[in-house]
Amino acid sequence: MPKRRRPSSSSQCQDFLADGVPESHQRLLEHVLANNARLSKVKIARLPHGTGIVASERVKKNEEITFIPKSLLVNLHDIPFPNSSPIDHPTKVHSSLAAYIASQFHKSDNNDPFISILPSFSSFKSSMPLFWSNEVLDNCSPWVRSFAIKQQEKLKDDYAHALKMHGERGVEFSKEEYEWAWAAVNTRTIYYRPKKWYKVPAEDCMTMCPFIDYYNHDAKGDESCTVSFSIDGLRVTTQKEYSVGEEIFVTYGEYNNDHLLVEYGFTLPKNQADNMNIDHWVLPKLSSRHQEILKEISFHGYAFTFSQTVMYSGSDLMISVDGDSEYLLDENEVCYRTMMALRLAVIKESMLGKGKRYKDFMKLVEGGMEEDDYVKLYEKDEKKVGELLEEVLKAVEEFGEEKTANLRRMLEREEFLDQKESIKSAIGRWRQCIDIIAKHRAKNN
Amino acid sequence: MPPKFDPNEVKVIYLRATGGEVGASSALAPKIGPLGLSPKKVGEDIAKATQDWKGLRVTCKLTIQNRQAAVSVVPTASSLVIKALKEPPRDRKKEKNIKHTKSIPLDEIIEIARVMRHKSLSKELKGTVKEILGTAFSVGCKVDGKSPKDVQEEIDNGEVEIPEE
Repeated sequence: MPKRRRPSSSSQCQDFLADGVPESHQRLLEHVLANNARLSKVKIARLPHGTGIVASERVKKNEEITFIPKSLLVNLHDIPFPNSSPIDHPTKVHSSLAAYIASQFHKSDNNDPFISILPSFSSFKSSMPLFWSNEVLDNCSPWVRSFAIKQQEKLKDDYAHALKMHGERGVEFSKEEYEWAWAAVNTRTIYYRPKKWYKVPAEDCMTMCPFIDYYNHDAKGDESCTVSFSIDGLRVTTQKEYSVGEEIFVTYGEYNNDHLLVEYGFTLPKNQADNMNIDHWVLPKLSSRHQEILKEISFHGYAFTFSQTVMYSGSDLMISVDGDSEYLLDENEVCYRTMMALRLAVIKESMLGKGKRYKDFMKLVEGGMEEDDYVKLYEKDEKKVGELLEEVLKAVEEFGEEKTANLRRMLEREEFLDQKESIKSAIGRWRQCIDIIAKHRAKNN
Repeated sequence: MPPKFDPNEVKVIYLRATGGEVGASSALAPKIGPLGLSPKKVGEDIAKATQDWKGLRVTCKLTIQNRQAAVSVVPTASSLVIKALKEPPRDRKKEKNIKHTKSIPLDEIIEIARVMRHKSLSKELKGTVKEILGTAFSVGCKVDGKSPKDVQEEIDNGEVEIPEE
């Protein structure tokens, strides 16, 4: 990328490379080290799940292990924007970054070390749901499918935007190259908002960062390293001790596996923040009147609406992909929103808006009544809530088993031979979901 | 949504609670219920995190991410001043309209000012100390046996020296 110095020596790079790491990574290291990055006690290694960073020496708590100066970051300052008003051409940083990277890749003489280490398009195609075929997506959980479709829309918009904004100015890239670059930006950007950027809207505060994107994700927020930004660059600081050879993780945020799968194309086998969205099965238990009331008290998972001109196949309804308006289930419990929705669901429709039970429910919502008191007062209802929840869980399980069976059958068919990887990860995710339900049952019975 | 480590993912809620007590959920329920957290559980977490502040009104900061709430106490001038009075904990339900009439040494006020320094807009520690004295006056207590207003005047006249930092 821009602003570079020629690498000086390659000998020092060896300290930061484990055996068996491809040569392209060495070139990146040379590039990074020649530009004043500071690395200490870490090296790039090949691990069973891909490339990652391990400790090469004992690392103490609160130690700065990586510093990448701002000159190495690739963000909106590196994109040559046309000189027009931001109203005609809103700066979509995601779109423009992708255009920039795609055009760099397009130049045949390009041998940028940073671009050479990005994953191939085929690996994005098999790992990221947005590139999966409709047949596979139809057999994923409704949330994954909705989210993937939303991303496809965004990619389409961004491509149109990039063509309009950068294509006219002689920046060249093919559609495939753009899709590849878009996926790279989507999976590898890091939030970066130094004080000087206070005017930049939050969604544009993203930067690509060589080396720091080698760090893999772990959900343990209090153990994995913190990534902090300042005007001079990005830093990685440890939060616990590491012994030699141990992999060092950062956390991308406490996301469930569905989110990780769609946004970054992987799932964690042991994700302590894992949960699953059960909107698709809870909502049919509620009449429209029930849903209206839940909306009023903001306990309803707002249905996500897409542009109306596009038709989507499949019978399932589009569901919320907003982080905080969902009904969630995890190993230990169903979330409070779900409990409240089900508590309302057991009140007959004719009794809504009147009657003591409805009033007490509203009191519970507003905090005028303690949960314990409500449970005691309406013991029978709580029993019904439990049964309803069990019905929901059963429906999820059946749905999951059916979809898994579909996917397994697809594995054997020849026309899906090239989609094996994506089908396998879809099956893997369903197994995790069914596992969550089983664990939830074991803990609550 | 793509950037990793996006701090906007985290929701922060501030609320006043009585330390060490599981309060009524009327303050909590409408705020955190829609986020999918159980008011009862969070109420217990708040009570646990505020054990050091038994019986005092404190401001709590809830950091909510992925339906997990981390509770921390935000130091405020008035709760620090009342804590410095070292009054015996009392039952809020039985005793109403509590008056704080005891006295705090000036050194403690300076100590509180140091804690509150980052929130204050004052240029020097002296100004922050005067701000804290203002809070002490509104709480109703005394400083070194005098009215906090008098102490403020003494600081202005240079009769009392306040350290730089």
